[in-house]
Amino acid sequence: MSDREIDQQLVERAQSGDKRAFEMLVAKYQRKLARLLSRFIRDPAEIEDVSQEAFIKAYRALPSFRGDSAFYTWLYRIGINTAKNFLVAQGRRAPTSTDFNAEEAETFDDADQLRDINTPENVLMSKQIGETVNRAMDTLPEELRMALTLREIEGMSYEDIAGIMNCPIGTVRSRIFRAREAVAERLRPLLGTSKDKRW
Amino acid sequence: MKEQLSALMDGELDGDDARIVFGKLKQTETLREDWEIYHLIGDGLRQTPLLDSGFSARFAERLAAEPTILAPQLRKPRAFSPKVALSMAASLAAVSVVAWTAFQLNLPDAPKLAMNQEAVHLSSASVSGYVNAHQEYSTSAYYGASPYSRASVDVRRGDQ
Repeated sequence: MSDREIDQQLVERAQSGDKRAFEMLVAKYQRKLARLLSRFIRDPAEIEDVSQEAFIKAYRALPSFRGDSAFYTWLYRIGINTAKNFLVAQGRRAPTSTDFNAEEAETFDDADQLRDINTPENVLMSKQIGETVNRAMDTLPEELRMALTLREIEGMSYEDIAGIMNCPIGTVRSRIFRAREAVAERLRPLLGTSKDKRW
Repeated sequence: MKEQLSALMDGELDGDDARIVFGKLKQTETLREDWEIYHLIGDGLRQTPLLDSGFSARFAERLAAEPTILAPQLRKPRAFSPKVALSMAASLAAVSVVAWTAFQLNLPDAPKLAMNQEAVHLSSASVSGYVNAHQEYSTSAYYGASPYSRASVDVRRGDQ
């Protein structure tokens, strides 16, 4: 089941009344959407407000989503329109259609264009999380670290990773899971499990 | 189940197994938390900027206030059984043959073929009499010599 099909499954469940399925989409795309919006909006609090608004608009528009495009493309388009409306309402310049294309949103290079969306609190938490993830990665056995890195950083398929690491696909799957779980074990105390600690 | 969730996130879990995990995700809050944390790990490794820690909780509150959506399900294309697919292929082939034949008959040479067929059928004296009486209505007159005339002559010669 491809990434797009996974999103479609979650959309269909949300369309059938399962709000938690939509929350899972929010969990997956909130940071990517915020990163996109940070190209137009500088203030971190405003980015979060517009992100929240975009997700709510997406939820309300779910009945009209037919899956003709990928969910994230559709969501990013809503996000861009929400940002435009927000900026116009604020009397600021809204991005033109040539400034950004939602189809390219997933792959845009943000190295030079991203604005800082971090508040001091976010900086601290981001730093803590980043350090925790990195420390956890450093303590992993080499084969686990490599498997997770090839998957998350390089975006490789299990088949490709299996080819590189010269092991069966099932082993790749197991290594990636064990790596994630080892890192997650380090993160859980930091994040907590109560709802107000959710990311 | 967590390993299956991990594989699902990576798009590496197929149909039935994926559906089982989706079913478990609906029922199990800890599994949904794992979904969130695994995605956070991925974004952390890719150095995606993080949002305020209460983002998901605040959104959940807003979402709870929204009316629940009950939209009609999309109609998915049905998977064809081999039997149905075979019969569809046969139907398509039959339609193609008919269409091809019709196309060939509409080519410029087609009137000649039709005329020849008419001539063959005019071997009966009663029919040729009818044709002679009505040949002024024949569209083939526009092409010059009337095949009906030639046919009737042949028939008469045959009769003699």
